[in-house]
Amino acid sequence: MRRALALTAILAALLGTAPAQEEAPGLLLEQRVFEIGRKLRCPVCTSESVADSAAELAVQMRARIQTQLEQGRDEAEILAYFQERYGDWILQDPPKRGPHLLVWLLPAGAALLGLASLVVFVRRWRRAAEVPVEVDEADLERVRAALDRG
Amino acid sequence: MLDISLGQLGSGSTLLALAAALYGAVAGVVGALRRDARLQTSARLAAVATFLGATAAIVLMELALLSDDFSVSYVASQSRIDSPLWVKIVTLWAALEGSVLLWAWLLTLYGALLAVAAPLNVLRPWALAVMQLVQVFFLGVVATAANPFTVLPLPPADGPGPNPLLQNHWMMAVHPLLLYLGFVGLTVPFAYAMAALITRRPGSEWMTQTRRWTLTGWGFLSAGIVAGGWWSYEVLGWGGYWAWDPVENVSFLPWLTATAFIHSVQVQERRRMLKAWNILLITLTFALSILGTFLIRSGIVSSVHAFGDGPVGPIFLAFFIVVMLASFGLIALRWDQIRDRAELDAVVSREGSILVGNVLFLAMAFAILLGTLFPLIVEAISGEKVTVGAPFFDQVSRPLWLLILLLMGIGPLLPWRRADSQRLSSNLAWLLGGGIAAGLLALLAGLRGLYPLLTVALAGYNLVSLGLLLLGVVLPRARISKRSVVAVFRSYAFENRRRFGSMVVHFGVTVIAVAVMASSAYRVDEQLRLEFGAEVPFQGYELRAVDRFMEESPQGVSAGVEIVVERAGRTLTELRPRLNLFGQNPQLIPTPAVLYRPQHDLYLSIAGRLDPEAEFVVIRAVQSPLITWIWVGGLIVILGTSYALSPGGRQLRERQRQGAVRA
Repeated sequence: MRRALALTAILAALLGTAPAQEEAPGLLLEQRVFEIGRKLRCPVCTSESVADSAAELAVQMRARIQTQLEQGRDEAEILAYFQERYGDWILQDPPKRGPHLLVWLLPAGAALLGLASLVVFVRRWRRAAEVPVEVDEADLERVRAALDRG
Repeated sequence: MLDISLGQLGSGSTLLALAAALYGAVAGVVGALRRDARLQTSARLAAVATFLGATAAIVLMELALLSDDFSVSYVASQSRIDSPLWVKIVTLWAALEGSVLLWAWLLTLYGALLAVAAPLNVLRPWALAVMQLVQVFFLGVVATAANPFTVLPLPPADGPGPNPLLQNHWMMAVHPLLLYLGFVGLTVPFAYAMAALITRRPGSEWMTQTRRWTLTGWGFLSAGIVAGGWWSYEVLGWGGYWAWDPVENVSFLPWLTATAFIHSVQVQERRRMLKAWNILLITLTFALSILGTFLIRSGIVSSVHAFGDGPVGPIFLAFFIVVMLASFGLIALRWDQIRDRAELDAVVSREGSILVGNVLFLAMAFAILLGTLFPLIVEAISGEKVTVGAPFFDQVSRPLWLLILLLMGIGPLLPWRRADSQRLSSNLAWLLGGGIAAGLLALLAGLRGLYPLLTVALAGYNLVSLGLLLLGVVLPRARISKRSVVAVFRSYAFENRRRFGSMVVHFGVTVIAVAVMASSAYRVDEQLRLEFGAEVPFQGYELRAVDRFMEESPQGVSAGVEIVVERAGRTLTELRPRLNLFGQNPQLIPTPAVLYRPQHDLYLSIAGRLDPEAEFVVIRAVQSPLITWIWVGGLIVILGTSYALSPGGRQLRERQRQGAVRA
């Protein structure tokens, strides 16, 4: 009974505090601009995103993202817009198709391969642990002799 | 009067150091092969001589920089008469040639320390010879392809000064130095590993010998990486500290393998397993630090921190290939001795958790290396240009980090060999309880999203783990000895420096994890137009641009805006974000101004241009929650590492006992 009460209390607390964040619409829009900007490369910078760069072109691109958002376009449409003009290169993420899939799949593959080989090794080591150590009589005799002497 | 220039003297010292290193390597190898004590001593003296020669070269370069001797090529290309003193001093490592000289000098310093202070045993002559061979490479580069001492027949009247980004913050004086100390420090265990292979002693001798070197190198590398992050934050003006830039990535790769190494050596020390694996890890660590230098210096990856091209890149690539071939050849040659005939009692054990952790660290290193090189590979094959940017690295590394945090909590609680299931389940209950409680609290506090909630939950879980670890040793001892818990804790922390230091480091990592999550997931960016005199709200602050200012110094010009920051009617501070121009360099460097607060930072930088006529200024304002705790966490990691290294407790007593025996 008490547990049920506690659970209800927790649930109530959770529901009560759900999306209580009220933010100014302007700020929300601006956050979206930077979010999308982080997914685009600044064309005139060395490895900086549109959101991070202070270069004039980046500032202009942020303004363009903002106007497009105001016109009601969504993120995918805006990214496609820039991709059309600058090519795949403008996207911070390599496109998930063709040979570019490799960069996404190989890390996961490497982690899995690592874990799989770990499993193989662990099995081998565990089998080794189960086999009792074989000692032949001669060795044992030598150890005994050494112990007696010591 | 003899007419010898600083440049000639510098080249001469470098050549002397190179000759001494070359002689030392040969004498060391021959001496070790023939077991000739005199030749071995001679090799050690050569190590000291190399250090003296390299020190002379460093001193001469500093003299040339400080006396504005523009007949020395490096000074002419990197220094400027009007730079302040500290900038001139650190200009030594502001560009390629000087950096390689510094790296070479640190190598000779460590080599001399090794020659003088390392205990005499079978490994030392070979380890020293390997160190000297590495020195030969670096000093050779300094003497030839990247000679900073080239004498210019027509010296210019003044130089351009160092890269403006480097002059912008004193952190730049520290960050590369720390990184080099780290890389060079990790060369010592590599040299000992090679010595162990050569002498057919692949046991744990080489690791216990180099334990402190390894930990010192790792500590410097960690400090260097954190310092680099802070430098980016203070200088680059976008409110972040880590951009997954190629240069950052390649400095991170050796850190990952070194971290895997310092954990997995414990398995070999305790359980005599992983001989080959540990040698492989330290070899990779060393090779990756060379590969990183190649990637940065060859200019084949574009980066904000890449400075200068030249023939040095390919030379480092060649050295990387030689190192890989030589060390892997040696490993293959000795495979029979280092192959594991190990036994593992249970996966759920300390060694099991370290093994899984190793896989995760290596997977992360592989993913980062792949992501860094992928654009190059694609362009080489299909000519297509792609970008692999921050979002990719975030997505790939995040799950791995979370798994590492998971292991970091449970691993140290597991005993070696086999966990007792009753103890394990009670520990697990506590850990999960702590994690769930922290996660729920975070949910109540308004955090949303899988990644933030999981991070906080794992942080809570890790704090409980640290608590359990301490209580697990302190409470029983207090009960038995009838001393107070505090007294037992103090003596435990004092006696077990390595163990307690590692707990402190893990605590620091937990702090960093939460700070990284909060500052990236809850960051607020806004571009604000501030009319002079008017108050503009930003995240509960009132920002008021008061005036423009312009400062001229011999270094350059700096122009900016004074912005009064108020909160709830109270003036907190005045921030002065600015744009800097250094010397004749046309590059405008925006320099942000930061209000550091424990709950969040307020970060202002000037966006775009500063128009002297306009009635307003455009500011980039960033609020990043908890971001300061990244630096605090980094500091905790460094303190923990230093504590683990500090002599005291058992070690001190052992040494005293040995001293007493000798006396």
